[in-house]
Amino acid sequence: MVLLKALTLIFSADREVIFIAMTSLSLAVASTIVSMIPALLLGTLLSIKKFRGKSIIIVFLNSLMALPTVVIGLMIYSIISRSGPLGGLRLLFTPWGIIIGQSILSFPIIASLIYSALSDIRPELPETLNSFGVTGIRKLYMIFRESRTAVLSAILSGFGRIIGEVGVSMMLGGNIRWYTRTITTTIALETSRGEFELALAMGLILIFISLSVNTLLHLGVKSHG
Amino acid sequence: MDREKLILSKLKFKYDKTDVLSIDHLELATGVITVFMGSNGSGKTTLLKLLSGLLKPEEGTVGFSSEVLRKRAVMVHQVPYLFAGSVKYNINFALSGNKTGSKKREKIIRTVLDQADLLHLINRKSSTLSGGEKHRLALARAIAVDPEILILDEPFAHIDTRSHLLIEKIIGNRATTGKSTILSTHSLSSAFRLADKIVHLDKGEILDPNYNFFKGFVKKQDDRFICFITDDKSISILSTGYNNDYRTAVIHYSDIFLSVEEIATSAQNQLKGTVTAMKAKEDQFLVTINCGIELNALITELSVNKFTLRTGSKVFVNFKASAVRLY
Amino acid sequence: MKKIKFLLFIFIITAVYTLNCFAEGQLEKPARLRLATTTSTENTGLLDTLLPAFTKNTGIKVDVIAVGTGKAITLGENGDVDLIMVHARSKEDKFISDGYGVNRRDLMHNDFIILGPPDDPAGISGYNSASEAMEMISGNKSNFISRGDDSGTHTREKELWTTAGITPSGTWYKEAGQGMGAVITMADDLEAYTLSDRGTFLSMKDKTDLIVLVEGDNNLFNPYGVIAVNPALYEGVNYEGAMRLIAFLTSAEGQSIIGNFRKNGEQLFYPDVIK
Repeated sequence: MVLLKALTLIFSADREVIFIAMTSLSLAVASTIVSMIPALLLGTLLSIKKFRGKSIIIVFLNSLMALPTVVIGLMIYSIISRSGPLGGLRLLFTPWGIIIGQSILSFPIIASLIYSALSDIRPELPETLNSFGVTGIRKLYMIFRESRTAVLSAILSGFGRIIGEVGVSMMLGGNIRWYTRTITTTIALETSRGEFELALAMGLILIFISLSVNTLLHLGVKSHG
Repeated sequence: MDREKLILSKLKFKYDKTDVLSIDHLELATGVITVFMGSNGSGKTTLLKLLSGLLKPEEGTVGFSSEVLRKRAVMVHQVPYLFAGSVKYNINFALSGNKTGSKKREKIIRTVLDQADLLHLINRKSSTLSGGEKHRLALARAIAVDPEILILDEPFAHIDTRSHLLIEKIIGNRATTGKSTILSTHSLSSAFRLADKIVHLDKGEILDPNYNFFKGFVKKQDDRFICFITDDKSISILSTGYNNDYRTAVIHYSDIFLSVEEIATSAQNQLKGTVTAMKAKEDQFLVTINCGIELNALITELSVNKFTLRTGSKVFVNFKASAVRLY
Repeated sequence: MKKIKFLLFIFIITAVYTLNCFAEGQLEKPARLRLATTTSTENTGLLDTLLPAFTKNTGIKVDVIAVGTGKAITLGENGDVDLIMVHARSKEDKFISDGYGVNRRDLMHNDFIILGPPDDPAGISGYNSASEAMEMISGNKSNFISRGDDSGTHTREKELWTTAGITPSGTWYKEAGQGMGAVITMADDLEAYTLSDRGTFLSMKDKTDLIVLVEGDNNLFNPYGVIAVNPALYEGVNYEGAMRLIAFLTSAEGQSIIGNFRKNGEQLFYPDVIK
């Protein structure tokens, strides 16, 4: 019954459902990209460089992973609220606010998974690259390329945490119809309205999206190299 | 021709505060094949990494700075790291740092793969290769960039005989181009066949050899003996053998005996010479005799006293033809 | 290799497209207006009928942030919205006297009702006094679900307990901390009583077994007010837009839309300005 409703929703191509799904997907993609770049850098830095305070950063990252989304939402809210220090930028209740919150949400996951992925590579790899005079960006690229499955799952874990979260989108996006309403905030809304079937149908759409993204990327990696 | 030398001086390297390497002085000629031998944990790999600039010495020097060495040397690990991708990709990637045209690059790839007998596997994924093939690919990849110094860590470990012989051949071919190759191995025969110089390591320190080592070539003498002539033709000695490809003669110190006058003996080789150095070694003496070439012999203290051997003494050096081992 | 480049291409196109859309939204921002309101006005669908008419007239898009009255007021205090539409008179007055809000207008009303299971274990059916009914529920220790979220309905519920002279506590009194819809669903499952606004109940009537047990008390009168956020407090508050929306809501057109709004054939809100 629920499945039928979900399928009807998907195939009826209801404009609003499509908009909500696209909003969720694009916000998650954008936030993943935004957080990915510094997370890759930090993860790499942690795995290849020795420096003071490194273990503190790792412990900190791991604890940040457990932080509830609403707490992150709340922290960002207090900063980008008009009464907060960055209130003038008017980021609250816009997609940008969501992207900030979601990026912060996925950053520690991606960074610490990248760190452990790169810690697993054989020491012969960087030595071989050094030996062939491969340095800088090319070296980094090769290290990522060689551990791409692990790097990919790190990024996908970050994406997964984002696409399924509700606290940040609700708090920083405001669940505004035709603007910042995402699949998860719709689920929360429909649940509160007692529209359980609709909520579950949206849940199925979420699973469908997440499944498609994962499958596509894994197929991509498999075909590569 | 005067060649550049790598001079290792007062070299020390530690892992977790224990010395893994401590070399006071070692000169390595360039343009030749140098082989490091020693048991596991003797510091060979560390030394090779220092020579390829992948590690920096904590104390002392390895001839050049690590940056310079890294530019000049390419190291192939004992368990080589192959990049994910095809056989061709691996070599192409190594070449991508050089500014070679794609046509020339293609040619190099085919040449080195042909040498390593991997041409038929050019499009295979590197992960599907056998152990021997992986070693050969790693070597081909290093040869492709034609480094001034090629460094190979245990190139003969855990591989099949065919790969072993092929790799020896590739190393041998490279020697004719006048570029340096430095490798470590447990295979004594490979070391003797390939090396211009052999360095023995034990617990991070250099060990004196217990044999005389010459490079040269052989000439058939008669049905029973062949004649080994050293490269500078300073001396020829008799040996037993059957092959014209031998390039190395090895005579253990303890296989040599000395006499103060020419004597009738079954030993086929009797060379006249002068003692140039004497060194006490436990209860024996290591006596160096110049008889056209330098030969070392281990003599008991008793014999030294009996013949009152000292530097400058005229002696005859005697050894059997079968004591000369050819490689 | 080709495949992954293709995927990457799609990925980047999606991202660029999205950012572009958002950027456009950003540029439009001067014309956007933010309204924090209670879940009851959003969930019933009233705003979906009202606001398009406003946007059509003025070209101003309204972003609706549907939260409880308490949070809506906090958002107003922080300058995160331009106006609020709420239903808790005591809080509204404080909001204005503290200097956060200006130009309050009465907008419309409906009423609160006490809902309960059809078999009515506390026997409150037929009582006209809400506080007496609450007394009976507490005396009988029948399950009661409180919103517990500082919303307008929660505020009114607390006022009713105070009138009855009861400080509710015990396992029968459950503070849900959720929206009205969720609380009605909970009460339905636990066969409990609860206080609800009529609008939300009517919109959920076909999904619940709960029935209206007490209604019509003056204490159950539920007026909605609309207040603009004081533009002197924060730079960039869209005061002009807020005033235009207030003007529209209290205009003949706005009031008639409110009066004509029907859900399942029933009227949910009664206009207060032009009756």
